[in-house]
Amino acid sequence: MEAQVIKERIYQFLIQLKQADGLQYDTELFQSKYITSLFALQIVQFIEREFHLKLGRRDITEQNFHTIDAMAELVQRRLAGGGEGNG
Amino acid sequence: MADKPAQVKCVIWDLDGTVWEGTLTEGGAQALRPGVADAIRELDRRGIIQSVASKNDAAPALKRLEAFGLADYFLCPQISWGPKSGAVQAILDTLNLKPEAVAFVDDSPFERDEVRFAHPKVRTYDAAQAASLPQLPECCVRFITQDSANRRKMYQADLNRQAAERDFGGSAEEFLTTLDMRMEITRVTQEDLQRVEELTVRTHQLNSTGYTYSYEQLLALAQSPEHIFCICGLQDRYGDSGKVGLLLLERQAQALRLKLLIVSCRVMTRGIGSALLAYATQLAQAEGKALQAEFLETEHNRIMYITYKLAGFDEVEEDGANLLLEYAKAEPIPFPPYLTVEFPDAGA
Repeated sequence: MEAQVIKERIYQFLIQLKQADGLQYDTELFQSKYITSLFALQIVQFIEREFHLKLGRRDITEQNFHTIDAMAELVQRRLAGGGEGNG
Repeated sequence: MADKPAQVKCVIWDLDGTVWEGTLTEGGAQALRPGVADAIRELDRRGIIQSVASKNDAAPALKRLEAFGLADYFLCPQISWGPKSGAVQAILDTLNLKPEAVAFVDDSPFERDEVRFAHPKVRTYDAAQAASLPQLPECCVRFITQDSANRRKMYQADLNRQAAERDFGGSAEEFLTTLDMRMEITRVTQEDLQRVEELTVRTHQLNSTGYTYSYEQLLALAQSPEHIFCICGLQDRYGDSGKVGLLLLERQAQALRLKLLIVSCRVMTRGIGSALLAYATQLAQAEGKALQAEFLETEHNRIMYITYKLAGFDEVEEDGANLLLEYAKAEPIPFPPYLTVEFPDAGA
């Protein structure tokens, strides 16, 4: 799946969770307090459902979720059959 | 120890020939069957919720229930001419119940079979057993707390809230803001202990360790200066959700150690876990200590792991299913903006 498609789907989900003021693919979600842990959980559940993935313990890191770009990278890596990251 | 039957959390009633005598569409339903109203009230008092699966036209059947003074006891009644297995499925979905927690009462062997065929784990009972349901061991509860007595009203408030959320046009956060949620954090006292025990036994998904304690142990923890043991209540404009969360911290030399973080599944998407975790980081900072959290992986509590990790906790020790996590940031987590947090104990 193309990175652009993945990013757009995640973006669409995020703005449903929270109104976006200039949300970009590289906006730091944790620093800007954009994500509370409640929303973080819903994002993980969304990604698993939307892309038919089962994320492992080592996938669940801030590094993999701090921007839309990072989430899309994680999804692509896992869709390509890559194992859990080393994060 | 012998296996005891799983606790029934919800009883689903047929109406014709089960709750009342005869068939409504044939001029029956002039009287309730003996003992049924008492059974319904007793189950309700114990915190066992109830619903209806009846083949009837909805409006006249509900009107009859109202005339008998019973309509309020039933959550999301399913009254239509569709199969009862579908009605049971709708109730399971709406109330977020597992089939093994549900009992179905119907005078028709055909309907009981039809439900059992689709839902093998649902327990079915003949109408002849209706009046004596409260005597069955699976319908007995160890004790009745304030929360169990109010459970039906809380579920009803949840249903109203869910309907409002479906109709709401804005984002999830905006919706949460409209709820006017007030969370009250207090120290656990002796009066809370039964509810504390109930939460530790009933909660599986939002439970960081699954540790259970005896009543005496809980009492000791509540009185121990080495521990901070908090319970939280939640109210919003739809009603009082009761006591929905627990936080147990142990004071160690260098760290506060989070032993137990539990949030009732009923309030899963309302940020209570986030808020309790935020409070723990604030307490640790106030005491000038690190914050560590024990996490014991179970079949059901992956959600809790995700919550910790994305709130800024890192793993520092791993021993099989036992993990030790540590909050790795300098700044404590602020409370979520859509929630007002109150501390009635403070200054007392």
